Amino acid sequence: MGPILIHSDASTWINLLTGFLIGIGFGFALEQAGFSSSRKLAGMFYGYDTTVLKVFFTAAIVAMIGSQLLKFFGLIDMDLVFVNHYYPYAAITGGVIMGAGFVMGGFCPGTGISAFSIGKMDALVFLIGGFVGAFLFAETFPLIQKLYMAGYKGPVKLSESLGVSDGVFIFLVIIVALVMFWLAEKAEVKFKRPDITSEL
Amino acid sequence: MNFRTTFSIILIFLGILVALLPEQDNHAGHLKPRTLANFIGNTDMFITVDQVARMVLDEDSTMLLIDVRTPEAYRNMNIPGSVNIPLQQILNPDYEGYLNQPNTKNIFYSNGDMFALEAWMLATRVGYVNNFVMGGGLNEWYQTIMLSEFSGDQISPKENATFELRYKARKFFNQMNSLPDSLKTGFLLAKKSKERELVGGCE
Amino acid sequence: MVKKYGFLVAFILLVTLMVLLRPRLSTGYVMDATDILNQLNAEEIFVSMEALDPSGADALFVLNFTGTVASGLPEFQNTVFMDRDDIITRKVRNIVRDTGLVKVIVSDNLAEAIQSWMLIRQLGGRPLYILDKVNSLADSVWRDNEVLRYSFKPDSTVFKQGRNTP
Repeated sequence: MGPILIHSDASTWINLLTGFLIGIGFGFALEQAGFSSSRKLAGMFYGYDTTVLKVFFTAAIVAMIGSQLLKFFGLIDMDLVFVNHYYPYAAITGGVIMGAGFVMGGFCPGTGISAFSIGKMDALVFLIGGFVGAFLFAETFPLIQKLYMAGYKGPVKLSESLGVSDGVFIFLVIIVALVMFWLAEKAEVKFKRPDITSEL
Repeated sequence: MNFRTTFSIILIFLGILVALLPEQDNHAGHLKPRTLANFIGNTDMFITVDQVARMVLDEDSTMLLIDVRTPEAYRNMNIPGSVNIPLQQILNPDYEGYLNQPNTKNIFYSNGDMFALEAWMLATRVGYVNNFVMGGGLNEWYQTIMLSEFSGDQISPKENATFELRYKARKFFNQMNSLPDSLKTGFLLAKKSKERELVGGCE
Repeated sequence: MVKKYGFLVAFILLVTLMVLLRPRLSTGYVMDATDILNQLNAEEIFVSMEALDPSGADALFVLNFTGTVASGLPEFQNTVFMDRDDIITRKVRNIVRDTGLVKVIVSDNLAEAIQSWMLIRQLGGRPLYILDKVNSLADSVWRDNEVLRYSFKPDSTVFKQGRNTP
């Protein structure tokens, strides 16, 4: 709770409890948005179901707007918010591998857990595969270390690299998101697959 | 208007609102004016030169002496063991590691009281804790420590202790400030405290 | 549509209102910390007694922290006696934010004066000055508070004493 609870020194266990509760909320939101269905998730790639795009973009926009407003009212310390460090080559390589796995398996790690929690066996296998992958990564790390560390750019924010302020950047993201929602609607019509039900 | 249009209009409106928010410093954690007003006239924040002298001689690690004068004045003469954060740089994020520590006392000093008080007000406003001012500054230090003399026939043990302390402090001050510059910098750089680290993420 | 999304729209309007009205309603700072730091160099803080003009009484507003009319101070028409808790009251805040009034802080304690100056300045009070104090003992005034009165002569024998200096 670093960025928000700066006025009171909440003890460690309250921080962990808050994290736990937020996690429960996140899992609940994923499940009730239907992301336990691998058909829905793979549909993002094939184009017949673009729910993933809408949900995640909306979540990102709500978070961005909320944090900017809270910062304006002085309730959140944005300097304490962690910014991911940027390793370009590692990000691209990892993204390609993960994307392939996502489409083939129909899950990503978070949704895999939420699917497993409702009892799907393919989610279990998917998660086991994920652990195997992590294990292989750790064992072969000395071989891939060079790629992993290459081109390190530090914690870069997209608004910084574009040279605009955070607020303006959020506005641009909103415009892009609305355009993409509109395109997604069109794609759903074009790539429709009536034989795939949206049931589990 | 269907849902999609409403949703888009709401989002664009919020986006414009956020884009037009004025640029301002991150003021989370800053003290409210009412809290800051309570410090006015409160003399708890002053530390006497004798107390500072004792802490300097003991190499007290719970305090950090901060000289808020210019670097030239600092190089010319300073209280040994102090770091130099010029007043204009007091809010520089590079120096936050020195100042934003919950466990050490930040003791500001300058030639008199004014700059040290200004530094104190700024540090307190932005939320740093344990800020103090050396009362009287270097003028007072000179008056009390460097020029102190005992006059009179008899001396009480307490007075004796005070003069002993002042004499030692004077010697130490003379020694450290008479070193050539190369040796001085080595001693001063060694004192930098550990910076507060940002905790989070996968790093 | 209004029924369904009424709450959402109302919430967003409320947020907008808060954002727009925040500067006006807030009893908070008008200046950022970095702004006041830059102002410290740019502004003249102290004003001497001679520069004050009691006859132009409308333009001067003396915020007197000492509680009594200081001796030697001519009677000013607009004098407000206050202590630190009064700085944030609405009455003083209105005075403070009126940029047509020249405000002078009168105090017998440099620390109190400087702290009040900085606080009131950050709350938007300008022009704002501190009445300079004349010390009857030495002729040092607050304006020269930061002038170093002694000079340090390095002791050249120190280094020659050898490497056992700390």
